[in-house]
Amino acid sequence: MSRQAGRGTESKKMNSELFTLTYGALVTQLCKDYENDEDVNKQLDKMGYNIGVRLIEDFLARSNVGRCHDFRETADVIAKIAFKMYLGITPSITNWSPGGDEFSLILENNPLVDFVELPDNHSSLIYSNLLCGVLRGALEMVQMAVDVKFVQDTLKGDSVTEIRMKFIRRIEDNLPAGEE
Amino acid sequence: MGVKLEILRMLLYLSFPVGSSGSPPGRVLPASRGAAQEGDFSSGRPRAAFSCALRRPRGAFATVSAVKQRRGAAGAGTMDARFTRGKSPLLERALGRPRTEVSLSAFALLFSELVQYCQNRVYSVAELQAKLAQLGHQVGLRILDALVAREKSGRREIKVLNVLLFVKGPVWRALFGKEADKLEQANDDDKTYYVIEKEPLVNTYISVPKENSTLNCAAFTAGLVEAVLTASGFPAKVTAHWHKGTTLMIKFEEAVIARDKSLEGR
Repeated sequence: MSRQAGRGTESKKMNSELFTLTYGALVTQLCKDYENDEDVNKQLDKMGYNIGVRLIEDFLARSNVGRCHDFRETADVIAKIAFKMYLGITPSITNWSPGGDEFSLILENNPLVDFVELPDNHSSLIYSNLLCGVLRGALEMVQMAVDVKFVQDTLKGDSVTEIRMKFIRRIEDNLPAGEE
Repeated sequence: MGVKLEILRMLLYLSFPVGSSGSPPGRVLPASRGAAQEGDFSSGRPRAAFSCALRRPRGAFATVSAVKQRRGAAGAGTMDARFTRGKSPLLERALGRPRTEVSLSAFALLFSELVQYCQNRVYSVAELQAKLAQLGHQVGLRILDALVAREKSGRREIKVLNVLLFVKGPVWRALFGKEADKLEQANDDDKTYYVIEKEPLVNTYISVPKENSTLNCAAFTAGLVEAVLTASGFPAKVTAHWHKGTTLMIKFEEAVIARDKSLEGR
């Protein structure tokens, strides 16, 4: 696992439309394959988790970010570096809980939902649930158990998209991927 | 555009009986045309309510219904019922070229999950490729609309060669950031064409296991191209093969070639 010399820290970019539409095709397929929205949400979360587990390595290699000292720093890294790097957006961080263990990411522009409209019969579908899985999986790999969920979604008529993240605990034993 | 504008204006007049207290539509529209052209397409914020109307007819209806609601019109017509969900700010966005970019890693990871998901639900390589093609199909159908509106100002192609060049050029550029490497016609068959891509973007981080060496995940792209061609009125079958990198083989239906020949010289 030696770090490749000269590996560009800047990752290659691509047009977001192919990404958006591919994600749309995936969600459509899941909606066809599963009977109810809850199962689709679960599957999206699982796929996101798998992505997160792999993404964190890519992230650490490219970003040169060191260990975070507290959850506030983690929040900053997620919003200002990770989201920027992978999705080209910078969510704002708000609504810290008094204990400093819970915050919200506000996404003004979610690239996953361009062109998307939820049909009436999928009102409980959490379309972008993949993101929750990604955050959960990536943080688990750096020994942080977090709870991530959508509390507002522009697809459901809210004015912004809000992801709520709650720090649960530090993971002492580093479990191998895929075992929970 | 002119026709759409007329329709929109008619709709607005319908919802604003003469002498009503609402803002006069005749004044709003010309102003909004400027807004639509100068608008910043990369911004995801809801734009001025009317700017979208010029570009996306659905947005127009939504706007009308929104105006009606604002006025508190008692009789919400059937059209309103159908389009009320159009209040989503996404529909107010112009269809201009997106300036947003995502990282290739993000796409690669997503695509990998997609392939794994499909793989778990099939028994053979052929089935897997068919499944990927089906997903590509979805993408192709959707991107075509946006591209025809954006690149060709709504005009369609009627010649086989031109539609192929459209695929090789604008479609490829929009999706993969570059033109396809090569476009060739089969020597012995006038309905078969090849789009050759040395290193397709979707295969960038995919290593195919030895036991499934025929698997080419560009089947996804093949499905995409098939959808673009078929929806443009050139029904074809497109398959992906390992040849000079990846070759997408396009086989048009007989009727397409026959029609093309009859158009020759016009």
